[in-house]
Amino acid sequence: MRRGLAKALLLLVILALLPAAVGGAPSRTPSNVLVIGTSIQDIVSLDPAQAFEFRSTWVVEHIYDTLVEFSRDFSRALPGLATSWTASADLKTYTFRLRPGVRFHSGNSVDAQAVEFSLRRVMRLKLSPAFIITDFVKSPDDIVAVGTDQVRVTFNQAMPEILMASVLDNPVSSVVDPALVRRNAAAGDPEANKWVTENDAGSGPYVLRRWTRNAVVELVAFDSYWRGRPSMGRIFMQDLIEPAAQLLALQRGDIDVAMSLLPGQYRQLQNTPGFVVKQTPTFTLRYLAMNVGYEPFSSRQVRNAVKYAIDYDAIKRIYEDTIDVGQTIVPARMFAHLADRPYQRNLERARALMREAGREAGFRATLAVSTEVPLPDIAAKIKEDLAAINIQVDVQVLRAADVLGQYRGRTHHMVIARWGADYPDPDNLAKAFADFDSRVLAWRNQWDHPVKQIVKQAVQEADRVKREALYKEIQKVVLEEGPYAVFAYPLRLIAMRSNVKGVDPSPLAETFDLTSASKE
Amino acid sequence: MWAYIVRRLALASLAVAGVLVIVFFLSHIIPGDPVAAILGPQAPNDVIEDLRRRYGLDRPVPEQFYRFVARLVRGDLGDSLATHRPVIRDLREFLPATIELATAAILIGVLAGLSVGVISAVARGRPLDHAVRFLSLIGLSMPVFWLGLILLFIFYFKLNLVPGPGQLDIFLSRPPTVTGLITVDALLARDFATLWNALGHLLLPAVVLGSHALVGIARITRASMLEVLGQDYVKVARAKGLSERTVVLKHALRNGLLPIITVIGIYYGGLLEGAVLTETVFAWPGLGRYATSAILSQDFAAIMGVTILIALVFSLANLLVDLAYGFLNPKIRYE
Amino acid sequence: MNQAVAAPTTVAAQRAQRRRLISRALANPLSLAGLLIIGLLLLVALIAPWLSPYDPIQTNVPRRLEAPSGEHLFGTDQLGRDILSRILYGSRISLRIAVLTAVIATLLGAPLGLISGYFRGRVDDLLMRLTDMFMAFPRLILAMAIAAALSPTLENVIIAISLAAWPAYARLARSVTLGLREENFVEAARALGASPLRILGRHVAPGVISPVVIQVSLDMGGIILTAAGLGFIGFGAQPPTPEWGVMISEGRTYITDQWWVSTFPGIAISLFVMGFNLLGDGIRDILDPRLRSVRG
Repeated sequence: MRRGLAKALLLLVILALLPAAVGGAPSRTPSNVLVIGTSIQDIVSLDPAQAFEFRSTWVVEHIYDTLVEFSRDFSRALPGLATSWTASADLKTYTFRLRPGVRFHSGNSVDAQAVEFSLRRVMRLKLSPAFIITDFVKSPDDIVAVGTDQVRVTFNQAMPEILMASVLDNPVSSVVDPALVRRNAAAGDPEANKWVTENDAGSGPYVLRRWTRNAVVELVAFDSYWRGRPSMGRIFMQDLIEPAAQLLALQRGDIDVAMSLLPGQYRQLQNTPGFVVKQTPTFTLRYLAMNVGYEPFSSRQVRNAVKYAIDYDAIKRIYEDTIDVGQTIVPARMFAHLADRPYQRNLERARALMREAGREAGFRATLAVSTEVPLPDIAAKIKEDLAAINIQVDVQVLRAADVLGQYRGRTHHMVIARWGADYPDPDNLAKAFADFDSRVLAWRNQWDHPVKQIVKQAVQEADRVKREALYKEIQKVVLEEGPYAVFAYPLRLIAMRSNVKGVDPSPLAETFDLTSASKE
Repeated sequence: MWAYIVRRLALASLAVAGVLVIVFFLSHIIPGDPVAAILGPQAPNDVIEDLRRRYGLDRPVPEQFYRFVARLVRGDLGDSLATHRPVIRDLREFLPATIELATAAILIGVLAGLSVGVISAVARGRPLDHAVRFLSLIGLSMPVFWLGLILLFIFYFKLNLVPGPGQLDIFLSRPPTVTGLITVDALLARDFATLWNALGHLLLPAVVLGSHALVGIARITRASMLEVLGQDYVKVARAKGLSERTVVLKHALRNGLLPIITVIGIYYGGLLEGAVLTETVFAWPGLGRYATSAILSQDFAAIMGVTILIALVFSLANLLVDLAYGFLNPKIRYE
Repeated sequence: MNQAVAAPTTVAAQRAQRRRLISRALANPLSLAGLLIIGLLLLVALIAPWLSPYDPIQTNVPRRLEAPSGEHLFGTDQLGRDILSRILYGSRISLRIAVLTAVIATLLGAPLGLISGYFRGRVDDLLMRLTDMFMAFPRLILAMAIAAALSPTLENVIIAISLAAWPAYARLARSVTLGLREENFVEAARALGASPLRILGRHVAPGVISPVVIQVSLDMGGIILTAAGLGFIGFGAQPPTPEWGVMISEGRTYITDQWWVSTFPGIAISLFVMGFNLLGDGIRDILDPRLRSVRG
């Protein structure tokens, strides 16, 4: 029996030691390769006519080119595939002259027919992002190739250059290779949407080598890119959904850049030699919304009591200082931002306001929040803060689908939500937060306030100084009377090994330009 | 025998149908807004309405159910809201990774479980028995996701003995798809570097996922070994002077295998439960993650697709277990 | 594994068996260890308010993420709450989940199993198909779907897990009932003209209860782990409830530097589950008739 037992024991030992036999790979990525740890679960399609999620559009931006591009400060349009353009006097019709000699990855040349084909294709397919074009262009016939090197686009309204750029710089306006689309078209799929979803039909700085769902996207530099070959020869986006695993991979050196860590993990890396955490401001807000349709919140005093009861400093700590503090609806660094911060935790003031509203006995209210870290912690803190003024909060940590279901259905009492500017102008935020008629946030919170007239006036105002004053007035009204307690302008955080350079996201984007990235 | 199989299959499809009805109505009575969630908080209302119409989600629930059944009869599971493609394609893409993981897990569970079971049966009541069982129970007592993170931290991060999360190093490309299982495909392509790497990636998640099966199998092995060891023919074998090893491995274990096989089948069917958490921690592109994200984003078609698949796999596993049981033990007859 | 719990037939035999069970359980080192752990946890749950040095939900943000020290034995979490106090109070939550789930699952499963086993025929077929249906579905995924359908509160988590767990008990109750209904004392009661309700209530149910209760207690570890898994994915208890699974899940952010945030709740949950598993293994040793025949 002894021997049998010894053998069995040996088997156990071998099983336990098996990991040791399977050696680890070298833990530094090669110098011309950039490995980005992120979650690519949201990539649904790499067809420019369909890509709408932020990592899909990130990839699309690098496989395809657009006619024009935004300048870094979003103040003007820069040449892309178009070298120059002219606008008609009414700013409705633009004529673009194309860059000569540009070729698709397939070797076909990028000409006016390709541009016409691509934009019309988006309008024919009518998928999620198509509205970006169809809101401004009435019919496919309004996009016309003139000869082989000019394209004329007729919009349905006057388009200042910025607005034109926000349509034509968008990834949905990418130019696809018509020959490849036609070759891969099928009977039920004349636009080859299925093929373009998974394959490359572009002329951009990178070529799509492969996309394995929920695993990896691999991009390879396009040698004859018209701007010159980008410095990183290969780029991998590795799917690492669990933040703790992403952190371990970054520290082990298996990835160079980590995109979706949690605030605490960024903080930890900031203090670790060999790592850099890039913080960039964003045009995004985090706020607590109170539904005016829920009786207690119909009182302005109660709403302001809530704003005075919240401990903003604690929230900043919970965010590990990865936010800018601000309380107005136009984020810092955007045109017309009002820097007022009247609310600090002040329980006496808050209790007085509750008394004024006849609510000193308090009430119950629900607070819906998604599972995104650290929102449940913030909800727990706000629950505690509001208990001090007798508001009993029932925190509901829900799936994003459920939070939005409540919010859009206007059945919430309170929610914690975010808003990111769709375009870099205060009009976007004013419309959402203060204009009941545009049926966005003011509508969801049932706050119909005369300030909406100023919103409508401000967007038409041509004088920059007057316009700024109007937006500041709107912010003040919302700050003092609105149903929102804005508590953070989150920063965009990207963690990387310190040999990675040139990662420089814009305030509007979730992502960064891969062509400027390099390694030492 | 065939009548039995047909009857079992009929009963199984009845069960699957019941599960479908329940899950369909369960997932549709939730007040959430999946379309809005998928398009994000800022999508314009008309875009949301449009997508909702396209997926028929603006219809009353009974009508949606009728359409779902009508499609199902034609073998169409519908399109996933989140991935915008037919659910059947998603399942085909993600199932192999889970099968690979579950198979590796059950192999580890069986090997280690049998060893633990045999050892503790032979050493019954002695300290070695208690020690081995105690150790194996530790694995069963830790939450799967926590065990996964700890093992990742120790063996990947601190000791660098295994490759990190994921199914394969990203620098390696998948071998040409034959079966969809990376290890098998690599073997078929005689690509041993890839095979080795894939095995390395498979090890930790399989250990984590297999830990529960290990304990179950160890328990049943011990019990059935103890039973067999007390039987007359084993006593006879011993009396004949056969070595203890021969007695244990040749006579006892072989005859004790019957109940063990039953348990293996049961655990294999149930591994998907553990896969949900294991796949998240180890960035494993399998069905468990697909199921989680489908439930999280209330992606109806995907939820239904996963439901059907799991229910089928589970029912089939049960049937196979029963058949294997009868095959190994001719005393059992199927009525 | 249902047959692991054999059905005693008469009340007297039951009592005797129960006594034997207890004395055997105390003699078996595994189940003794399990009993000790569970006893300790029960005690902790009972006197948590007196043991806890701090309020488990009172935040103290300036002192967040402090390492274990004399002041905070297990350190503080991301909101500056005392982890020791949260774990102590958390034992109540976990016990509540385990016990309530067990009770609900038994109350659902046992009567259905009784009816199914006693009346057999159509009723039996129907009810067993129903359990097939529920068993054809992994517990965690079914619980996820149910937890998502109801709003995610602790109560609904309990309901979700119970709904996923009852079929096993229905099966067990049925198999025990099938054996009992052929027993002489049941036959006698039937011959005397007792109504089925009375027979079930007075004669059959008592015999069914104890095996089901034992089986449930064996499953408690699994129940707690399922609840923790739900918490990890985001379907768990609502903040600031100190549920252990949610605590581990929150603490994983800090796994490399502030190890104590997830490690202590992890140890707590493992210990708790371990207690039930040890006890379960011990009881299985004692009850499994095959093992007894070896001993005998």
